[in-house]
Amino acid sequence: MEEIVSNGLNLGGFTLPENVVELILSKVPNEDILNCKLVCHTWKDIVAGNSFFKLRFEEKGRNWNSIPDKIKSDPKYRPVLHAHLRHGILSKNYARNSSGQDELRGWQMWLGDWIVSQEPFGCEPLPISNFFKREGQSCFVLKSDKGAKCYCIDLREQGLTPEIMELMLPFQFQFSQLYASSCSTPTMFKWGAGISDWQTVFQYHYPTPIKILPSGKWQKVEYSFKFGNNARHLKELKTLRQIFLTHKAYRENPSTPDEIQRDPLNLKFARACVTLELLDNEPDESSSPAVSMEDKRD
Amino acid sequence: MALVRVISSDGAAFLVSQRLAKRSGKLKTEIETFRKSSDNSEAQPEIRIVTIRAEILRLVLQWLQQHQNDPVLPANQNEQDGRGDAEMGQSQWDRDFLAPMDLGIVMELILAANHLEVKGLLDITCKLVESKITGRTVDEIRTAFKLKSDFKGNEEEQTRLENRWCVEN
Repeated sequence: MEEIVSNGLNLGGFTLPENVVELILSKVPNEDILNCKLVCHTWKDIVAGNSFFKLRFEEKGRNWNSIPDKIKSDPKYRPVLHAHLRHGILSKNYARNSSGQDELRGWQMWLGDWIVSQEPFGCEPLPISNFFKREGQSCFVLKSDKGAKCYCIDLREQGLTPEIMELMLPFQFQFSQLYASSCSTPTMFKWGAGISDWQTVFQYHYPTPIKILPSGKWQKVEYSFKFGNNARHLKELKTLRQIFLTHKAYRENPSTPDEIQRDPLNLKFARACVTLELLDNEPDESSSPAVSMEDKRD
Repeated sequence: MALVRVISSDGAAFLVSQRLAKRSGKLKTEIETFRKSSDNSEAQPEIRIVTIRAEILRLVLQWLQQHQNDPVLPANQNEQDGRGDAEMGQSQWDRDFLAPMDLGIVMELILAANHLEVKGLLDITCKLVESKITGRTVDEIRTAFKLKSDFKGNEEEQTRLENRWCVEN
């Protein structure tokens, strides 16, 4: 009997062009890709190729052009592309229930009386944004005179392992949050963002409270945690596990029950956003100081 | 209605509308080339496909007929979570169309769709072959396609170790 010579392009007796085998393999789910690499050299080489990833991005509806050239061209970044295909690590908002579109899910309401409103009554409509196009006009509303909420992101669950994060250095976690008030007395907003390994907080940003005047306009706070190829960050990344956001709000001056009844706080929060952005240059290490005890006071 | 004669490798002629034929990238180019080289604009183009036999050509034309009103090459949605269009595109008709085919016919159809540049058909046939890979072990995949491992010594184990990230993350 004649022995079948396997060259990886001959499937069941039919020799296919390499681009077709590549197309077939590009449709295999992430979980089965490793098996394809183990079939033979030809398949292994196809799966390792740059054009293979481009096809997979199209197949999964992800935008290949949005990925920096550095990541696309160097084979050492393949695990990053793989994690992006699987979890969207380079394009998603890690804060999934950003504006209450999923009710209060994911948020821990520590204090106060919170609801979700389908439109920002008393305030301007939320600005048009490509990133948030599917999230409509919903927002969280603080009904009581003070309140606090928190959102925790499990990085491992979101596809960010220590190995993947180390490969992506330098990068930053970028935070932003919109807020607005229609209350006629000034309101104070304290927001915070931190990263930790569950127990120890590595970096914490907790700026002084922002005074919100009753304009009904949406305003934005932003902050980023930067990571570079330095000893401290490399050490932190090994155990980094969680990102958390905190929001606290209260009326600047204490009010009587009558005032509260007449002029409720109705502070609104929408579009909590945490994204991962790759950086072109190493960040200045001092730009993201380690946590001091003072920061932890609150 | 302008027609075109498409002739298979084994000499069977199929008379189809040019509008339908032009949904194949290859036939579209051939028809346009014929137009340019022909003095008589009324002449009926004749295209010989030397690599595709009648049974397979009939299947391609049948598929084109069924999908003649589909949008041409549905553009992928920009950055959306979830699946691309290829995943959505498969209709019940397509599934019934492919169901009776053995792997040999599917392979011939893939080669034909690739040659004639019929992306939709290429996608669903490749998807069918993909389903024979997904969920199988490495040995099962090799058996299904009569492929032989050409890894030497511990190369396979080495590849497995180097690519742990494929399954761990």
